[in-house]
Amino acid sequence: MAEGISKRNNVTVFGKGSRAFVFAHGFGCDQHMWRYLTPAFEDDYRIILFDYVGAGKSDISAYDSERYSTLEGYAQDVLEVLRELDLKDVIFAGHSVSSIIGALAWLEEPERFSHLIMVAPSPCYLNQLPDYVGGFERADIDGLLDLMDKNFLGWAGFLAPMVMQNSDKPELTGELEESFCSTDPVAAGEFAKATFLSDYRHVLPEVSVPSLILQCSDDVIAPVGVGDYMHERLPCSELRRMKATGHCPHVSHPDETINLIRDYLSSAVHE
Amino acid sequence: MSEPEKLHGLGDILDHAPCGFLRFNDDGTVLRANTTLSEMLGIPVSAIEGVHASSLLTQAGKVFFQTHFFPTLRMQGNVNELYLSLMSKDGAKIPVLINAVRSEKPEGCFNDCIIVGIKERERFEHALLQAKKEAERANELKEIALTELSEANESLALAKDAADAASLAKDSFLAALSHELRTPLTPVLLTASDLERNEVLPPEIREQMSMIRRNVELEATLIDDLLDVSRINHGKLTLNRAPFDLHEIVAQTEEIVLSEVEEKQISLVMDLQASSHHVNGDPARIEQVIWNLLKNAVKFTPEKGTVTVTTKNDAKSCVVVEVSDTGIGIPAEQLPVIFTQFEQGHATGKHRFGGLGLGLSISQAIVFAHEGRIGAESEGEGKGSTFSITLPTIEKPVEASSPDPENPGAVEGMRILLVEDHESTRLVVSRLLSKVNHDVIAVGTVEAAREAFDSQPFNLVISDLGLPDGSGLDFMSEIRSRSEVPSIALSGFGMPEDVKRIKASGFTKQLTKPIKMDRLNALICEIDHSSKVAGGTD
Repeated sequence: MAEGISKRNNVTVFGKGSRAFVFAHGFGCDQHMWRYLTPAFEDDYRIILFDYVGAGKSDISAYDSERYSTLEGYAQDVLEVLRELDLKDVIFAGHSVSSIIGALAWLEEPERFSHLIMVAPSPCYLNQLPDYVGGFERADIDGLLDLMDKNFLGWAGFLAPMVMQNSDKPELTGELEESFCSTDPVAAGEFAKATFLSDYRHVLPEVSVPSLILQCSDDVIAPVGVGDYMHERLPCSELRRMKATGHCPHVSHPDETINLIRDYLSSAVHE
Repeated sequence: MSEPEKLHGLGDILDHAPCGFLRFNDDGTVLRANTTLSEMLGIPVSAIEGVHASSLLTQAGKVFFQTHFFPTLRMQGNVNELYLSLMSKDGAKIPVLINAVRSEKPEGCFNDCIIVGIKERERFEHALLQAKKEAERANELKEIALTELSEANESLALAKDAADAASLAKDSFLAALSHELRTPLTPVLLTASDLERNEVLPPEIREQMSMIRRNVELEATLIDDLLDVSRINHGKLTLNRAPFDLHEIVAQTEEIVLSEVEEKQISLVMDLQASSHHVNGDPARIEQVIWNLLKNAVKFTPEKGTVTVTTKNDAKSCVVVEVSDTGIGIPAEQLPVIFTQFEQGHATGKHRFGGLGLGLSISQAIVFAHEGRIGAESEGEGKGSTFSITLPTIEKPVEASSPDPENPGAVEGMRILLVEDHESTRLVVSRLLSKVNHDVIAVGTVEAAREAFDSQPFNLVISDLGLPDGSGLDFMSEIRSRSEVPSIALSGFGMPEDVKRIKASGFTKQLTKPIKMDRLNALICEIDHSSKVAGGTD
C-alpha cells in the first residue's frame, strides 16, 4: 500500500530542504507545469510533485467517476499523498482549481499545512449575478467540454470512446505519456465539470490558514474581481496582483511568480 | 531581387496565404496577424495586433488556451492540430485547427500559429458525432432489448418446461384413464361373447348377451376415439405401415356392419372397380376410417335405403373409396365443418344419432397421415351424401405366407401363466382359455407370478401391466434374463410410447383391453405357429 499512492498519483520527490513544498497542478495540465518554478526552491525545500488521478502519468485504472465528480475527491488525492509521505506543515502551492482543492484538504487535516499559495484561484467560475462575476456562463462550460472532446478524443476517440481506459491499448497510452499536459479524455471532461461548475465560495471564511493569492492581470478564468473577492473572505490571506497576464504565471512569468512566493514565504516564515 | 523586395514579397505571401497567421509573445500579446486571419475574423489587422491572443477566442476557447494550449506550447515548443474556436467581430464562432511553434530568439520568444478554418469539417464531425451518439443510443436500446429478449426467452423456456410437464402429465393421465376405463369392460365383453355363442342357452338370453356385447364394444370404441383425438391433437398419431390390400379391408368392414344392414333392410352395394388397390399404410387405421364411413352411412340412412361402396383409380393412380347413401344428407352450410371435432351434420337435435362426432375428424387425421384426401358431398337435406377417401397406391406386393388370424386352426394345449390383478378378468380369461384346452395358472401379483414361473415350465406368459406389487413390464424384463418364453401383454395403455415400452421390456405381443377372445386366440395361434417354425419353446 505504501507505494500505492505514490505510484497512483505519479509522485515525484526531490530537493535538499527538510521542509516539504507541495505543488499541485490545475485543470488542463499536469506536474510538468511547475518545471520553471521548482529549480528556484529545490535547494531549500523538499519538492513534492504529483498528478491527480486522470492526469499526466497517474494510474488511470484508479480513476473513479463518482469520487472525482467533486473537488473533495481531488482533495483526498492530496491528503493521501501527504499521509503516505507522512508530511506535516507543508507549503502547498495550488494552481487555479488546486487552490480550492488545497483549501478543502486543509479543512480536513489542517495540521498537514502551514501555508497555501494560490496561483490564479477562483472559488466559483460561473457568474452568480448580480452578486458575483465568475466569468462564465453554463454555455461556455459546454463549449469547453466540446473543445476538450475534439482535442483529447481525436478521431480514435470519436470512434472508440474511453480508449484511454483500456489498459489493453498500450500504444495509445504510450502516445499520451510522451506529451506534456497529457490527460485522460474522460477524466479531463469530468475534472472540467467538477472545476467549472463548482461553487466553494461558502468555505472561504473557514479557511484560516495563512495564504497567498497570486492574481494575474487580464486573466479570463480568474478575473481580477475574483481575486479581490477571495482576499476579502479568506481570513489570513495576502493578495498580490501580478504583471503577468493570462492564467498560468508560473509558466509564462516564472520569475515574477518565484519572487512573489519567495517574498511571501520569507516574511511569513519569519513572522 | 533586392533584400527589401524579397522580404516584401514574403510578407505579401504571408499576408495572403490560404491560412490565418498569428504571432504572439510569451505574454500572449499579438505581435503579428496576416490579412487572411483579419478577413476570417472581420477585424482589421491593426485591431488584432497588440491584444491578448486569447481575446480572439470564444470564452470556452480562452479557457482551453489558458489551461492547456499555452502551457503545452511553452513547455513542449509546439502544438499540432489543436482544435479551437475563434470569435468573429459579429460574435460568430469560427472553428479552426491550429499548428503552433515556439521559437526563442535574441530579440524575444515568438509563438507562431497557422490557423485553418474547418467549418465544413466541423459540420461533418458534428454529423458524425450525432450519428455516433445515435448509434450508441441504438446500441444501448439493442442491449436493453437483448436483455429483455433473453429474459423473455428464459420465461418462455420455463413456461415450455411447465407446459411439457403438464402435457406429459396429461398423456400419463390419459393412458391411466384408458386403462381404468377399458379394464372393467374386459370380463363383461368376454362373458357376454361366450354366453352369446353358448347354444345351450335360450335364444332370447343369447340375444340379450349380444346386445350387451355390442354396447360394450361401442363403449370401447368411444374410449378409443377419445384417445385418438388426444393423440391427433398432440401430433402423436403414429402409423404401423405395411403394404396391404384395400379391397380386403373394405370387405372386412362390410362384415362388421352386416347385422345392422340386415336389421334396417338396407341394400348394401359393393362395387370394387379399382384395378390398383394396394396401399402402403396402417391397415388397422384405414379399416377404422372405412368402417367409420360405412357405419355413418348405415346409421344415417333410413330403413330400406341404399348404401353403395365403390372403389376406382383416379388419373394419378390413387385409389378412391366412395361411400354413398340415400340418407338424411348434409345441409350445405354444414359441409365445411363436417370434419371438425365434436360436429355432426345436423346442428339441431345433435344427439339424435348418438356418438360424439369424433369419427370424421379422426378419419380425416388418419387419411392425412397417409398423404391422402377425404371429402364429403351432399345435394342437401334428404338427398343423401357421399364420402370419399383417396389414397396413394403401390404395386401389389409379393405374397408372404402367414397364418390367417381369422382362422387360427388347431392349437395344441399350452401351459399358460396368466398374470392379471382384476379378479373378474382373471377368472373369465382363465376359464375361456381352459375351455380351448390350455392349461392355465392364473395369478394376481408379480410375486405370485415369479413364484409360479420359477416352479414350473410355461409355453406362454400373458400378463397385465399395472399390478398391485409392481409392473408387468418389470416382471417381463426380469424373466427375459433367463427365458425366451413367448409373452402377450394385456394393457389398456394404448399410447404409442406405451407400445414402445412394452416391446422394450421383452413382450412378444401386445393386446389392448378390452380383450376379445378371438383376437387373443389368434395371437396364441400366431405364437404357437412361429414357435413351431423356430423349433419349439423351452
